[in-house]
Amino acid sequence: MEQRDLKHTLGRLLGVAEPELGCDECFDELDRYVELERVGEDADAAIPGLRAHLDGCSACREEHESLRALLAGEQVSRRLAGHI
Amino acid sequence: MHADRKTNEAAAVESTQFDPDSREWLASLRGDEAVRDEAVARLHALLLRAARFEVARRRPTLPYLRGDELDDIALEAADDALMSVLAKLEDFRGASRFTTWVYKFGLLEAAVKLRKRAWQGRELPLEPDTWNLFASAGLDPDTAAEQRELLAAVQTAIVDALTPHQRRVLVALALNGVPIDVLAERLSTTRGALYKTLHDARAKLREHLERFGLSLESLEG
Repeated sequence: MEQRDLKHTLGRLLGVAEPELGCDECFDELDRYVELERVGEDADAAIPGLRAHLDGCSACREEHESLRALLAGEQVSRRLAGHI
Repeated sequence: MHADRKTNEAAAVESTQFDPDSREWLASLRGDEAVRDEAVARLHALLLRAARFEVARRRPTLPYLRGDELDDIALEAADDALMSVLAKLEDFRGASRFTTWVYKFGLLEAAVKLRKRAWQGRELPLEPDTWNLFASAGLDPDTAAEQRELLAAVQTAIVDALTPHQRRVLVALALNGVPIDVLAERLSTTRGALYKTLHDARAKLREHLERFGLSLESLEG
């Protein structure tokens, strides 16, 4: 196993040593977090602990990526349709 | 009447806090029967869009599922998400657009269903039988020795510092890649409770390693 893979595996095992939200709080805040990200606001300052949770929870991370992608795709569709 | 006053106060707050589109959604969903039915149908369509989006994203990882099975999963996810959204409508505070808030329910339901479908009938690996993954390759002797020390300490900490439940959860989620929703279902618990267990197990491991002067940051590269 390469050093990078090893660090990745150890990272999954050890997590991050900083305060983080739980899955339920993450879900509650996810929509606001993604919209702040999309307009270039400091989402991490607005919702402390959410980024750390996304780093530690693969399921919530996937759902964050999906919501970002869905909104981005929707924006493109609107542009193509001439709404923006 | 007290209830009317409360409704009026809520409407006043919403009129200043919510964007026009979100206000329209809420008003329609609280409207008379015909208006509400039409809004619920639009809401379902929105959730189905989110669920199909999630299905499409995950489709390459689910080659054994036929198109109609995936359509059914998306529809079930939209149906379940609709129930969740309607039950939690009063929780919407306008922190995002209503449609963004709604989408996350559709995405979540579809993701959970697809994770469960992917692991349906599979035995969950709950024991650390994949330590051989840790065998290093192509490293210089000093780095290899450093790795061996850290890995041995991690393995010892997993056995010595964690409770059996923490060990099973950590190994399944962090080492063996079992999705948290799948493990939660098999152990009859929730995603939130399992993540708390994972979080506590990780903290114990870090604390154990720090006692020996070891940390992830001590690995170079």
